[in-house]
Parts: sequence; structure tokens; C-alpha cells
Amino acid sequence: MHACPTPWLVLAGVVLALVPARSAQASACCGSSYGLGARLASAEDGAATVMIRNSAATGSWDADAGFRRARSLRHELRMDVAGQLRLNRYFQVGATAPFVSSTRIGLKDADHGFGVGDAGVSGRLDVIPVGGERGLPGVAFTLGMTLPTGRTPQDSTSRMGADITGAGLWEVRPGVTLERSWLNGWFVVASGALALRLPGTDARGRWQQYQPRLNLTVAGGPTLRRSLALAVGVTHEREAALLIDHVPVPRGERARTSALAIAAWELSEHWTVMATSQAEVPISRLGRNEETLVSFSVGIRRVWLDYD
Amino acid sequence: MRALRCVLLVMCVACDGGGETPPTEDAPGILGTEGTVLFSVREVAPTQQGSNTFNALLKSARESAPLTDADITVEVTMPAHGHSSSTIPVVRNLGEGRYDVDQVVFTMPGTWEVVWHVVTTSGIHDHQTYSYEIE
Repeated sequence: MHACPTPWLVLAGVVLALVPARSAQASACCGSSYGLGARLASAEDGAATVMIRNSAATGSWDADAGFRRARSLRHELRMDVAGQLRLNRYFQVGATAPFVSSTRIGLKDADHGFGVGDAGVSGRLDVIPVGGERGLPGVAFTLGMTLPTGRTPQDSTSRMGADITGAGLWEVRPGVTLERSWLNGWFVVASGALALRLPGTDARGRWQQYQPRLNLTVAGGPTLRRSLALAVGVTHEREAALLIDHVPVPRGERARTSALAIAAWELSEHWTVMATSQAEVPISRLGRNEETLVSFSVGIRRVWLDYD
Repeated sequence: MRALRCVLLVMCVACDGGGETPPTEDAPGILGTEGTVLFSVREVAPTQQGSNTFNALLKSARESAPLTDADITVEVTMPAHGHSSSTIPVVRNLGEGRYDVDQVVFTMPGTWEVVWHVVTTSGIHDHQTYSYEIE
């Protein structure tokens, strides 16, 4: 008899897929380091997920890593449609299409925009099965890619940039993921990925190159009543200063730290409901040159099992 | 004395032109990168996310004469993030070397740079960069 996927397996996949998904603006202007592909549990042949995320800006970290509270309102509603497909026991692929609606309200301006964001594709190779075996954690190598399908800041026609939905960057993200579960229902997932971007030109026509962006994520939690999995975690990203004409932008290093809370509730063996909350920690020195956001997501996932 | 007070009062009322009052205090002058233009740039209101307006007084560094015929372009970028603003600022010549630049849009919080490029018919070329921290 085939084992039904337990909710922690689903939730760990949710963590890996959803945690790094940033608001369009933050990702739009700056490149994303989404690092991690969504992934299927061992008994799953395919999955389709729809997530709706609501984000609001709380402030920003300045160039000296000081936190500043927001003085204007920026709000974003985003829907991500994702699919995953298992090619064989070890290898799976996925794709994501985001749709973004953004509202910005300043002290004297207000603006709204929407559009398609930067799409993503991903691949995953399981070296040691998910959940681990013989005392070892599950180990997988991942490869994600972002396609510049969104509207860039240079293409924006909005007064306050509310219609910006993409970064205009090709990005490749190799990474590694470790996952471990225990019989008592607890699990831990950890991942690292490095976002690599192609060089381009800035608004003044100068050569520019984003430096590799490192993403580290750790999350873990219990499975309750065999149908509800909960997790809390933290994610940290950082990159060295942008290079313009091969010279680093002074005080241009970037970093951010986020706290995560995630829940996955298995309605049936084919349907799972998910909810996530992510918030940049508004404390000085935990970030630099990044906006801070708080976001809430809800979604639903449908899987096709190998014994369907 | 009473007559003097009345005269002073009338003068005060007459001086209040109502409507938009031009800036009465110029920002300290900064020599441009090429050393040919003295830039005095100030924000009309505290800078904020969204649209901003700046006022500038430009003078020739050599003669200290106002540059009344300057062709000005203003670039707005966010260096750490590698992108520009979503709008192109609008420049208005107010005369006597004074210029207003409107639609300087900072689309998100962080460190922004505003670069002023000045070219005159007399052959003066210069530029100056101002940095702003937007919350």
C-alpha cells in the first residue's frame, strides 16, 4: 500500500516554495533570490498550487543598517500559480507564474498598478529521499531560474512605480536543501541558495552587475493529529554591493532577515490548504538597503498521487 | 509714533503677496564636479516617497553670475538597487538663474541619488549629485 503524504511533507514543500516569494517591488527593482523550487513528496506525481499573498510595507533598512519606519503606505496583492511535475523517482520540475496588483499612497500622491510578474522555473534532484534515511537528512540539489516577464522600473509609466512587477533580470539559483523528520511528527528543513544574475546596463547606460545573493532558510515544527503541520522559521538574505562600471556602489551592500510562520492542513489525500505569514524583523542591523514588509498568504494545493 | 506704526503696518501688509512664496533662503552653494557651476539646490518640502519638487539657483563659478540659459537634465536613480525612477523630472526656468524641478519621484524607501547635468550656450558643462534618504 502506498503511503499517503503526511502534512509535514506538504508543509516543508510549502516552506521551500513560498518563503522566499517577495513582493513585486522588492523583487522587481532588485532581483529576487527565491532560491528554492517547490517540491513534491515521494508519493506525489504532480501538484498545482494557487497562493494569494497580501503584503504591506512597514519601513526599510537604510544604507547604515538602521531601521526606519514607513511614512507612506504601500500595499500589494499577489497571486502565484505554480505547478510541479515528477519526471522520475529522483528528479522533478516546476514552474510559477505571478500576478501582481500594487497600491502606493504617499503624503500627497496615490497610485495603483497591476500586471504579470517575473515567472520562474525550477528543478530538483533528490540525492537522499525527502525525510531522510539511515540517520541522514533528505538531501536535494535545486536549480531555480527567474525569467524577466514582468514590467521593470525602466518600463514603468506609473507616477509612483505602482505598476512595477519585475526586475528585468535573468537569474539562476543553484542551491541545496536538507530535510529531516522524526517519528513523533517533528520536522526540520534547511536550505541555502545563491542567486546569480547576468550583467546589464543601468538607466544611464553604464555597465552594471548585481552580485550573487545568498539565501539561507531554516524552519521546523510539529505535525498534529496527522493532518495539520505547523512551522516557524527564519530566512536571511545578503549580497555585496552592486557593481557599476566595475566599481562597487558605496554603502551598497544589501541584506534582510525575515521571520516565518506556516500552517498546512490536509483536507484529503489530494487537497491541502495552506497559510503563511512572513515579516521582516524591524530591528536595526538585521538588514541593509531593503524595504521591510509584513505579508499574509493563503492558498490551496491539489496533488496527483502515483496510485491515482 | 502712531503714524510710524501705521506706516510699518501698511508695509507689512503690502509685503505679504499671498499665494506661492518663493524660497527666501538659498541652500549653500556646492561647486560642481567640473568646477564651473555653483549649485544651490533645496527641496521645496521635506523629501518623501512619491513626487518631490526641488528649487535650484545656478551660478557661474568664475563670475558668480546667475546662469539664465542653462539646459538642465535631472537623473534620479537608486544606486544600491540599480534602477531609476519611474518618471522623468520636469524642469522649469524661473529666470535669474533659478530653476524648479518637479516630478522627482522616489518610488520606494532607501537611498536615492539625484544628478543635475547643466549645459549652457556659452559652453559651460558641469554636474552635481545629491543623495537623499527616503523613509
